[in-house]
Amino acid sequence: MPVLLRASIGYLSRHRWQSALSILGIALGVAVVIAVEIANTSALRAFDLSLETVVGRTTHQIESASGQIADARYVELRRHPDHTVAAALRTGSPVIEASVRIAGGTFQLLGVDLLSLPRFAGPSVEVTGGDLTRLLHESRTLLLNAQDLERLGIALDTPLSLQHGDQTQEVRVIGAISANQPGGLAGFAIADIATVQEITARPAVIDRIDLTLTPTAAATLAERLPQDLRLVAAAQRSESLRQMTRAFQTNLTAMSLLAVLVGGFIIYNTMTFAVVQRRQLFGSLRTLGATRAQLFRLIMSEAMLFACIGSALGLAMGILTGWGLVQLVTRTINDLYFALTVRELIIAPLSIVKAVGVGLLVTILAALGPALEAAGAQPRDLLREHSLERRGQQWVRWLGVLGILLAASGWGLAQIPSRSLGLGFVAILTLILGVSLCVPILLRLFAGLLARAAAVHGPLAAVLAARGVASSITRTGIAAAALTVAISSTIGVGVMIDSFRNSLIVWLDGTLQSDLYVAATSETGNRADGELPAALAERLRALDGIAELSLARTTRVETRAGDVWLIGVSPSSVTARGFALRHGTATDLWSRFEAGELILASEPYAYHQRVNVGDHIEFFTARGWQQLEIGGIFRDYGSDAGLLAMARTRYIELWDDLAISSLGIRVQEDADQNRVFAEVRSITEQFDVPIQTSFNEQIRVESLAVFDRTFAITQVLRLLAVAVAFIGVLSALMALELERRREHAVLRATGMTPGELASLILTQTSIVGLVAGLIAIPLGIVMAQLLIEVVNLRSFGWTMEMSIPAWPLISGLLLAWGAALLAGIAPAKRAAREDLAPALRSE
Amino acid sequence: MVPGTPALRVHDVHKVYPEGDGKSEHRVLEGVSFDVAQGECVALLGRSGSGKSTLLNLLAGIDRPDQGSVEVMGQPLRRLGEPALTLLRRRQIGFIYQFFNLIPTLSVTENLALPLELNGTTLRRGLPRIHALLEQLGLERRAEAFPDQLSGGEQQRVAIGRALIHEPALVLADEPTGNLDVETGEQILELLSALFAGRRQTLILVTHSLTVSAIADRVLTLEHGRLVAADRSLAW
Repeated sequence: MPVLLRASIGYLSRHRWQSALSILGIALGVAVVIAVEIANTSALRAFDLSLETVVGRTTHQIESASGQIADARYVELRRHPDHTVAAALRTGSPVIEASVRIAGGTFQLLGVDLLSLPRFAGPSVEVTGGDLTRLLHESRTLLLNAQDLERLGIALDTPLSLQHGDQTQEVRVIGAISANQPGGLAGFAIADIATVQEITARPAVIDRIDLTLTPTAAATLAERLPQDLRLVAAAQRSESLRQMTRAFQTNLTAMSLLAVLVGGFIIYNTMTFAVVQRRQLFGSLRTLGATRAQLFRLIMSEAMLFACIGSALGLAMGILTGWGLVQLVTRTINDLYFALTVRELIIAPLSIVKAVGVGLLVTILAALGPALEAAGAQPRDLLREHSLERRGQQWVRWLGVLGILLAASGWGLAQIPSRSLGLGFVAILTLILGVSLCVPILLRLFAGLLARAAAVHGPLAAVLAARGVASSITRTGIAAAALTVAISSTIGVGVMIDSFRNSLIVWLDGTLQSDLYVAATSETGNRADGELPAALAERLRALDGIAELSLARTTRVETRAGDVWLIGVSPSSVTARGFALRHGTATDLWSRFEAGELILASEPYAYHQRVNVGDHIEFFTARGWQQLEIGGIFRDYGSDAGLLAMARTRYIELWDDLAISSLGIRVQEDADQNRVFAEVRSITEQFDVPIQTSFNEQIRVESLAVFDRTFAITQVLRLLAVAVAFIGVLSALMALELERRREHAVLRATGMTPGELASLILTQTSIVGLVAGLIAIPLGIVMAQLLIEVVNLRSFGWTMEMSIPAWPLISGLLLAWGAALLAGIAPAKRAAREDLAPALRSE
Repeated sequence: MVPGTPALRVHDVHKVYPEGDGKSEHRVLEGVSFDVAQGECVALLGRSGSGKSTLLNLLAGIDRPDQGSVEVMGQPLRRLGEPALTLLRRRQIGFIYQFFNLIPTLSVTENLALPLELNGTTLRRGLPRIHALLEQLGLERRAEAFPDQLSGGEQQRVAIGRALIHEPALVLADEPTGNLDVETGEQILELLSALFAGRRQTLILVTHSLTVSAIADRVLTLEHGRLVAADRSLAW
């Protein structure tokens, strides 16, 4: 082994804790990246598998404008006099779907024509333990995947409870299905169409007809289908579903990169320390004839060694924590987008390459500075004490200038009128990086002022602490910068979440104008798109104590730009108040809305489809394509997928759909709400369909709970960034303590007690923490502003009022101080317990 | 303290350090005994590795003997815990180091104020004493300078000032001219002699130089951890 390398390994093993902290810093950064990658990839893979299963070999699907097709229509199509249509229909199968829970597991209940089962499960599908024909003859019988049966401990032919919406029903699993396709139908319950119609209380309807068509056959069929039916390419449907979660996943990736950025500071700190500590050794080596290139290679090799060990450790940590993160991600996808169950972790080679690549790249960038510094210095400089620190002190000024330029560029990038989410994140990261480069000079300035004030009025210990911070700026500045980045992201995200929550509360208060709500259980996503029994509204209206009923029908409809949620509302005295409209509506909005001339578009819809008041949207209706004008844009935090609203009378006219999905009930002021609620509930229970009845307040609470669950993953990532920063501060302070070993020993020899020395060190760490916290506050507020105005808008199309509550700012400052103080405890203890004799001898 | 009590009493002190391999040991001091009277200036003379610095650390309570006892101003150090030892150093002992060991982030005045402040005298109240001492040290014009702005000789003068400012009974100087050129070293020795001439303070001077030991009232010579001579004429 070359002597230089031996010297290097000897040094690293002597400074084990410093090396360990550096490795841990890299490991945590890489772990966060890989965990987020695994969570995203696993969720996407589960989504793809479920799509593959549902879609099977289907190339196209027939859907109706109203979202469901009557059984009779299907039979009509199969017997269509046009041979092309009838032949196309023979390639497929009718399908009805629902999301259910069986024995504690979430399943996609798929009602299919059993003769076409191989289309879903593959050609060599096997059913063990049961007779398939029982599915046809026996009510409420299902097939489940063999692995799911084992996982949930379900025995064949035993009664099980199936939960659909808030209704529980008894079913039996009569056989285990094994399919020769990826996923093996995991997460699916297969039943006959009639069974699913019975369970979901949707008699005589199907959701769609799946077909396998050639492009020519598809083109011909599309032309010949009746006006209210349309042919959709299966791939297009999958892609639009996948698009829904893309922004959410991009946001997670950006948060994980923040942890890596903080990790970069630790590596920089460790490598600087490694250079400073060995300045004399490097000086001697240079005088002995070692070249600059050799020294450079030596330091970079050490950094790469850290990076390799850290990345390997990070991969292991990330994979271990990936499962927890997957649960958080899928919970949010379930809450906001669609039902999804992830059964396996996908560790894609590309994810590993990405995470390790990020770790190595950040390490190389972070180590480059110290390596160039050591290689570029003259031997006499290296031999001179503090020459590197002195040079670092000069660099701090230039770093500040570069930081201001970067921060300004970041701010400028955010102002570019673009819709690119990537550019938005680049802007924020540039801004953060810029401000973090300014932290050392700001810290030196603050510590200098503090020292000056303490020199006049305060004790010498305060002068010593403040000047100590300023004089070791290459060490303390880096620690403060790492802490600033982590804390500012905590504050920024905290303020954004708070602003969002406040806007959501205001929106919910405005939207939930009724006292009670009755809704048909949702089949998809978070919209109440089921059907309430036709007689329900009239029976409720007759109840004593009801002031007013507002009816709504929610369904997915087709527009030229794709599927969209549409709500048809029957105007009531509170309709206008129920929509939080943005400024700039059409004239006579409400009268024209009620007349069916105008529709309303939600903010996300308007943003994503680039439409505004006065623009027209073309709908595929039972009357063919129909154009309607947008009269106003309203806030809607219910979904980022977009929502359109129109008068229910107009909706009925266009879609021939008299169904009601939800009912808002305003109770008379003098009536007892609880009594009315109980009576409403007793009426809804008389119908054999799943119906949800809720108080206004219950919906509010549940909505806020969903909101909090959505941001749970963000909280976890923020805490991880703070954890990495904590390691950064600890690493910097440990290095500082080692560098100051002799100075501390002199203080102790002069009569300073261990306690006084420890409090001196803790004062120094407090200065670092408080300055980092103080800088993090304005940076966090700017970050919050960009997250609200750039990231949220570009990701989801939502706008919101920014509110800056005191708590996230105070807690950020306290967190910075607390983290620094906590990180200071170990170095302070070490310094206080230091053996004085060797420390005084060291030179 | 009883009048006539020696400033230092060292009795049969032994100190052993384990060797690098952890199996064998190195006997640094073996049965060292001597007394130093109050106001006396004693030079501890010896080659490198003879145990001088170890002995100095034992006298200051920075290190503890494996066997034997050390008494400073009548107080047996063995009986003192770490807090009491710290207080003893703070009040009774002044240190002068070979490498000066000034606090780089404190100015000359502040470095001198440090022992005062540790003993409860604020910088403001201690200023007259600091200024007077700076004048004696010839550093009145360098009062606001920082250590890295001073020459080696100036730094050592500040270190001497810091060791004397709180008027400790015992001053321990470890090779005070070891890091200086000959001329500056001589100036420092003159300064030390002048400063101690009018005081009742005890000075223990660790050195390997006969020239330095010349300013002492008495010379103790250490060789391989043993005291071999206690007389100027026998000095190494």
